[in-house]
Amino acid sequence: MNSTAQSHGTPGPRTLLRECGAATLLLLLAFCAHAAQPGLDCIRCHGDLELLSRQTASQTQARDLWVDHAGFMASTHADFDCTDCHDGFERFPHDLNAVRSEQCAGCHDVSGEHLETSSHFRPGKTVECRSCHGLHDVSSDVATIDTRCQGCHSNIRRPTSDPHFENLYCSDCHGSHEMRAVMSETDASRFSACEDCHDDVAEAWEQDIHGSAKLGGTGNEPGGVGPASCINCHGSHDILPPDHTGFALRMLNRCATCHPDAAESARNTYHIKATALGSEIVAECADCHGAHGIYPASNEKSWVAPDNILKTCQQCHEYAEAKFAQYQPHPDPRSRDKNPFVFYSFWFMNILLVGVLGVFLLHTAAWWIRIAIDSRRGKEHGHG
Amino acid sequence: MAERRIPLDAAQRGSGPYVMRFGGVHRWTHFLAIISFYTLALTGIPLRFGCAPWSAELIHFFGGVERAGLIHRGAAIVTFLYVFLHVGYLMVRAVRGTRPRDLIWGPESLVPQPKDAVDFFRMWRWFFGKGPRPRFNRFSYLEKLDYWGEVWGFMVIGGSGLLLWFPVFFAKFLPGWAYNAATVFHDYESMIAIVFLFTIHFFNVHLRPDKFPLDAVMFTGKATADYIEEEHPLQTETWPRKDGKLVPPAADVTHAPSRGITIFAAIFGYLALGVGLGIIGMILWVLMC
Repeated sequence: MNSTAQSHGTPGPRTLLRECGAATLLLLLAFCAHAAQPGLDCIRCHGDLELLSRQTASQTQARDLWVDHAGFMASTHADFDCTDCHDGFERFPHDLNAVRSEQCAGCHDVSGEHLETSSHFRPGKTVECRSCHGLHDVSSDVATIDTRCQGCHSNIRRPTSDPHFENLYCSDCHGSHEMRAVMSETDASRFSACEDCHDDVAEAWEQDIHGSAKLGGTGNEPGGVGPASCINCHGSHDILPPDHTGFALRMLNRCATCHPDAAESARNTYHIKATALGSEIVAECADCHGAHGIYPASNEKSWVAPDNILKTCQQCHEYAEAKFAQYQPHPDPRSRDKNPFVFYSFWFMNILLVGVLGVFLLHTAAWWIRIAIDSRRGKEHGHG
Repeated sequence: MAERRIPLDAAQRGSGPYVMRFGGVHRWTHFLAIISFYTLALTGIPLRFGCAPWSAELIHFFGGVERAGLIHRGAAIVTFLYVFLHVGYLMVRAVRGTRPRDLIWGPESLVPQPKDAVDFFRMWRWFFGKGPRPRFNRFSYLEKLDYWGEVWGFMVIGGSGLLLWFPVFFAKFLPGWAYNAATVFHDYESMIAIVFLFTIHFFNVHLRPDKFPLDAVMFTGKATADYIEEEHPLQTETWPRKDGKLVPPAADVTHAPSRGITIFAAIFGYLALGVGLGIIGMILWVLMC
């Protein structure tokens, strides 16, 4: 600065200020050039939302053209030049196209990630890389991406009662690029998402009737594809922990969707009636049948197999003896074959109910009518 | 008539000296029966009609299924208590009463007799206008029906209830299906009892137009001679008349019910009628359950 002052003689304070300013600007430009900041020319316009707003027809259009420069500089693509991804700006206005996923594929090889089965890359329903990873603030941070899932999947509520939402990201269950529907009927890796954390449960389930039986089979064939997977019973985005209020009741209803007869008959018992009204201690389906090791009674591993049933009852009825276990938890009083005594009790009480109430409700009605007739006639309705 | 009239209690209408119709033991038994039956019904029907919109509310009111179950069993103990009270009363009357035979036969007895069958058919004839209204003695067939209905109901509901209360104990003697049968019996008999008492009994005793809205004789124990003549004409047949008024036997005559007991009977009676009819309303609401 000293040398500048010398070459121009003694400067006035205004001149000094102006020249200092010019020098600062030069230094700044020199620094910027040195930093070789990519796309600075583009950013001059595309980083200035006010300018874009003045030059475009609508605020939306301006927003579309705007580049989040700060976000870009913070992203993994900060070293890139705009032209690395964008082309077509020889003319003005540019016939600039949005960056397609194909361009990303130039660097990012995701070919091994089951894209062909991904619900995001189905023909006609292509989700672009930028939809999840962002435009200029590109990121592979799962927490950031997780917030973007909601953009399309706003119908997925995230109840606080489901512990998964507090502890997991969407991609933990659905994968990142393969985007599988967890437990879909056709997916061979159907329960791997749950298995990652719940491996002991998954192991038991693989063996039991829900995990291994073929639909329509006897339930004892090994290696089949089971009729009920994790989400069939637990749901998908509103999974309740087993100790949560209402867990038993919800399970009951889920069981009932495939086992309507068993559920209907059990609904007439104290067990299920009390459960339905919110009792947490009375037996519901899983208390007798087990949860992830469910077998038909004909299988010796079943909790309700003849050799095991008393032990199952004794979980609650500690001192129960053999006869106690003869109780039918799924009674069908309409079936004479299953239990004639219950069948006849049912019919006896039905006849008694209809008989007693029928005769005496008629008696009551007839009495009322008699009194009404008598009082209309102005007659003493009395005796004799 | 210069008689003090409290028209809302059918048993205090009309004139004549007051007659003792129900003694203290009768009234206490009936009072305990009401208290326990209503408690049993209210804590039981949420389970019976689990799909009803009101069942969760009612269970919540009692503090949950387990609490409701406890209250239900407590009320069952009250039922057993008043049944013991009644059986004890009958035994005392049989052993030390002056005329134990009255318990078994005759107009003072609640045992069904040929006249009751005849009265039942005559009643129907009267309903159809084909004859006069039958004349009842101290206990009409309807009152005997109430009594024996209670006896039967107690045995069926109480027996099946005990079975379901102590299943492990009874399973030492009974086969497992006994609990399935007990559930059926408990369920149906309680429905018969609730509907019978809150419609048929209510109408016969309280709500029929010539008694409406309340007959508190089972609460106060006392009724006018006119009331007895109207409802139980054979009982008053032998009573002499003086100046056109009935003169009951001196041993039966009593003073009018006190104002306090009358007010209590009215409040308790209306409350019981209201809750009972409310329960019928709740059942009708979910008849399709």
